[in-house]
Amino acid sequence: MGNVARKRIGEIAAVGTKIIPWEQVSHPDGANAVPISSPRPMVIRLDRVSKHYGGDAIAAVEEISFSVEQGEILVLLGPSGCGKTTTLRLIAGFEAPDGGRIEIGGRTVAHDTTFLPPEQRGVGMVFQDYALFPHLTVQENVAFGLHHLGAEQQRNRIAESLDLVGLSTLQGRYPYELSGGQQQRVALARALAPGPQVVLLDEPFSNLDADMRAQIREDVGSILRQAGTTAIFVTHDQEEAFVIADRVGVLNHGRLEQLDHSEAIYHTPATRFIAGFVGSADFVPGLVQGERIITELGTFPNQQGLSVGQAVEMMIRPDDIDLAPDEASEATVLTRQFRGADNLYCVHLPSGRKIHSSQGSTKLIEPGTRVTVKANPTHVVCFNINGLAQ
Amino acid sequence: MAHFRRLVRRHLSTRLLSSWAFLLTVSLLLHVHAAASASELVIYSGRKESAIKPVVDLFERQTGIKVALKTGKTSGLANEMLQERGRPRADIFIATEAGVCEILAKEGLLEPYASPGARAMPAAHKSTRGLWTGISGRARVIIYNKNLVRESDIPNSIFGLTEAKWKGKVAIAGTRERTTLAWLSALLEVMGEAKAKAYIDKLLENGLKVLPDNSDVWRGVGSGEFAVGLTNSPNYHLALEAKLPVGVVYPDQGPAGMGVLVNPNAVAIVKGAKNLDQARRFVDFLLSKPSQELLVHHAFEIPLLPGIDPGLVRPLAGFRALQISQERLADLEDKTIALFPGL
Amino acid sequence: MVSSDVRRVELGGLGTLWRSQAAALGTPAAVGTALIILLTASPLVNLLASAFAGGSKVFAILANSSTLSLIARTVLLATLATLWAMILGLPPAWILTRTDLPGRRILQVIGVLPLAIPPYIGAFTYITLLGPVGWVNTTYRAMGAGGPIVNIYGLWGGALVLGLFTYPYILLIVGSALKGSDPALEEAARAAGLGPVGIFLRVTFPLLRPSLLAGALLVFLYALSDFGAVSLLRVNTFTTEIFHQLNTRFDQRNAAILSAILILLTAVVLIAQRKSLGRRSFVQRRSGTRPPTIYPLGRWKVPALCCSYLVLSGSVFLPIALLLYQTGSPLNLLHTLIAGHRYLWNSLWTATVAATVASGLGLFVAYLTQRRKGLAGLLLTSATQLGYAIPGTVLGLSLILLYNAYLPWIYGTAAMVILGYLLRFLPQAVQGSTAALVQVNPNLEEAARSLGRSPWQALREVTVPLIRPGIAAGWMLVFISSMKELAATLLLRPAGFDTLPVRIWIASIEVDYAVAAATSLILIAITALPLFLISRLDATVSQLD
Repeated sequence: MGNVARKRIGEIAAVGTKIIPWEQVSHPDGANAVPISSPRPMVIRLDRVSKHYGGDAIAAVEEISFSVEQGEILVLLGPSGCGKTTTLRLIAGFEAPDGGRIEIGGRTVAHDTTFLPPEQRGVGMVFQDYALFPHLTVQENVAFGLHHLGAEQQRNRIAESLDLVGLSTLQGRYPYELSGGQQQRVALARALAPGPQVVLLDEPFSNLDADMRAQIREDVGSILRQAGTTAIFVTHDQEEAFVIADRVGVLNHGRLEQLDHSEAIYHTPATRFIAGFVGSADFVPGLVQGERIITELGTFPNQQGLSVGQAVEMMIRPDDIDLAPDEASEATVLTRQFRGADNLYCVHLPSGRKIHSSQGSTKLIEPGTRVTVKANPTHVVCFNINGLAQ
Repeated sequence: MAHFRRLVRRHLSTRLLSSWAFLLTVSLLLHVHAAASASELVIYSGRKESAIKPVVDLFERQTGIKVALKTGKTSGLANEMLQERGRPRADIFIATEAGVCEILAKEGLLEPYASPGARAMPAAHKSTRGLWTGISGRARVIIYNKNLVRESDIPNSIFGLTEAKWKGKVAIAGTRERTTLAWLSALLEVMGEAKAKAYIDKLLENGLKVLPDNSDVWRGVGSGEFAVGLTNSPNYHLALEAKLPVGVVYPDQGPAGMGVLVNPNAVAIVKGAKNLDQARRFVDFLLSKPSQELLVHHAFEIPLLPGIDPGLVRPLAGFRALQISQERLADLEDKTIALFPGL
Repeated sequence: MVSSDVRRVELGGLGTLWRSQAAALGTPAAVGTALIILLTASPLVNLLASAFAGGSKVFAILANSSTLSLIARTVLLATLATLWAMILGLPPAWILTRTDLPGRRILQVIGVLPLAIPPYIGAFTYITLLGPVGWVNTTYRAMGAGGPIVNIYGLWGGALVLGLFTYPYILLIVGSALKGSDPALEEAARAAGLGPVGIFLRVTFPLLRPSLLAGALLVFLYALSDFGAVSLLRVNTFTTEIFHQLNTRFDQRNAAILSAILILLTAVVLIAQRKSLGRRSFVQRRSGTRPPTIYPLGRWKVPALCCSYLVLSGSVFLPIALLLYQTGSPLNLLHTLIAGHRYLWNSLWTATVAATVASGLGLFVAYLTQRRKGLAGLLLTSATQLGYAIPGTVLGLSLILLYNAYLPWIYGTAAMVILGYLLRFLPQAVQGSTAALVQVNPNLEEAARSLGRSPWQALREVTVPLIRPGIAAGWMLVFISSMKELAATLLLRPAGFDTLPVRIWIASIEVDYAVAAATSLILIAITALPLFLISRLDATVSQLD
């Protein structure tokens, strides 16, 4: 990978707009960047953005607000139909919001009667199917966004971008001659070449073979961090989100349910939906009694300050449950699923409820064995019956 | 397939295509403009091309005036002229019979012109108001196939064709041919409505074959498809020229007979013609000796002007013609059309 | 901070439509749409207006028995022609795509050639062969056997000829469906124990029904609107009756009323066609990755070959041979070519201009309907399809009525002929561009926009280069159809401006067979080449007219 030091990545000179030069600061450690604690300028800001289809019938995006810092990688995570792609397209300018405001680089691009078309927003986009121009070579593809530069500058820029993604030797090839991963990287180079304020990536890894995915993910992540580019990913793959993101925003039915660091999303999900969507979870009913919450798996500290007497559901993850064979117990193992790295057990509790437990790869317990169930959650997360975290 | 695609992509760049498209559109606009200011003499001719083209060609050669010729059915062309009434396209109208000219004259579509050549034209074959002039004529005759029928078998009168022995053997062109229309109108005038309708009905009952065109009639008789045909005199000569075994009979020639209808081909100048002078010259030319001789010798038409050598054609003096005025034929047209839908 | 160059877009109505689509071409597109709709719809509207201006006369004509028998005869002719086309087209479609018949690839290409022979030329050749004084009858009579045994004139002859020269539609559409179908279903049937015939009847044929119906409706529409062939073969249908009215009466209202009835008939058929297809295109893309099953013919090889060659003989070899014979000598051909070079030029020029303008408009319409799914696209599609539904005679008449009244400076020029071609064949250009456009990922244009191109630039630099072959195919379709067009040209041509079909027509009417044959050969030679080129592309041939 190229080593991009502090430099001016590019100037955006879209038709008719003023040139907005800006600088990117690269992270000295390259790939293992950690967000700088001092506040950086907000590159993207969404303020109560909404989008409806079919009149008011279908709310694709409902009052979403968030901001993205310069150099940050934000991932929008959610199931299909949750509105994440729509949000991306709203930022890119391929759709116009029905309400709210979108700012890019401090400039309002969509609000009420104001609407800046995509070609003037300085936003790069990498599509799910790469959308490389089939009739142009790799070089011409990357050069496509650089038409405002002189020939010399263009050549330099192209070389830099291809160098960044590690495809300098493939300049003369056509897209159909490249593998999926190579096309992916060309698409990224093409989006980065003009030095956009932000790069949007729409499920960029879903078209790749599973075995390639992890490697490409890592590569793309480090490319972006090296370039110091602000990026917004959209994905339904939770593992992908956690690996690559600085922050993750989980969307459900058009609403942004939680925006936080990956760990927080996993350990302290804000809604029951997130709890179930991100990682596996079982829910055990419990009753709040002051400092403790009483469940059939035992009592747990009331970390969320829930009011007394409230009926809640406690989230419990398979990796929080420990099993030990015990003839005296009334809980039995129902099934065992060998998953390679671990065994997933489904346990039948005396109450009739089933919970899951993840045990070591070599820890084998026959179905039908009676076991004691011990729950050791690192975070106690409870939801009221509405599904919201208290 | 792939090869073709590559071919197209390589050679047909967008720029090439758009400049080509631009050029074509420009040529189109230029053409429209040119057409608007053309100085060609526009002739609408109901007389078919093979008959009239030699005359037109001769005219072009002798005078150097360019002609744009549109041939079609006389009625159809008259229709067009009525359509174009506000901005006439045609300068000259040539019709296969004169009744239509009278109709157009009534509509005020014709420009009067007394050509010096028309002075010698008999009054029956030109407009009383100088709005149209006959050129040459064609007689309604019976042609027959010599191999199938003997001349003595042919009835002396057209009314004899209703006999049973002619069942399915007689052909005629329909009223799309104006000469047929004029003939029917003449029947109406001579016999009265009832008798004429009865006659035609009997003919139809007897299996009269109605063909779209006179060419079909003489070809059909010549080939033996039909034994007998009611058509115009030039077609007999055309059949002979095509070496077909046909004969001709001029019916109703007896002292009490009604005679044979002669349809004059007529020429008229359109009112508002753009090339009035040239139109006049054309009319003069049509009535001049070279043109007349072409029409008589090449198209086998009957000369209406004196002093033209008839050649193979039986001249006006050689048979008895039905006397009827063209205005009368024009007046009867609507009734004719209504009475004889089968044709 | 709002910079001065941020575009302000009005809210409400059309503005919201554009804004919400966010890829607006804006005002030019709206104006273009309005113009195209005006261009295509106005002749029809004017025609219907003048037809119904007759008031009660309309109903009198409608109720007239001769009109009713006219409707019956026209529909009967079209039905017979369609049935005949299906009989001719279905077996070869199956034989050429699903069996191991030797030389089937060549046959597939030749099988399309009848489309280069306009039915009026086909009619004329069959008259010389099977007419009352044609070869067959003269030979028969020479053998002393007596009266004519076959007469091509009339309803049955008309159906025969029409079906014979339109069966390629069935062949192509059904063949394409057969080529692209999934073998899994038939394999499942075979596993269930069905033999080849059983498989065809129970599995293949039901799946073919949509494409068969599509092809059949295409042929039916064609037969309904044909003029040249039916008039030469002396069948009295709507088109010939309209033509007759225009050439006999001095009142065009009768013709207009008959035209209105004919339009109603074609509209009914067209609606049925659209309903049966839904949103499906004519050509099915291959769904599976495996090619369909090929059945070995074994001892059926010879009969299959005979069947295929028989059909091809009747529709290609025989007519061409007859034409060559009628022409006499190559010298005659040359002479006709030189004498009629002006007509050749007229044909080429009008067809080229019409094809070019149609391609431009077609691209516009295709782009708007594909990329902007809204009311504008729907209106445009319907408006451009109008010309497809209107027979040539009727279109000619409606254009005359409209332009003579309101745009007289165009009337009477060759522009009218070009306009006729344009309106009649615009759907083919739209189809060509659409077929190509659906294969282009819309993300490509969005990618271009994210890289700083305006929608117009994206169209020019990304989309058009990719769909150029589709545009070219559409161009050629319109070119071929315009070269062959007779009925509208007869009505629209200005004085002295004849095209090749018109010359063939005049020569046929005046029974000048040598000239007719020679001119026909010239016409076929010119249309065969682009036809051959297009048949190498899939997806667009089904729209040939």
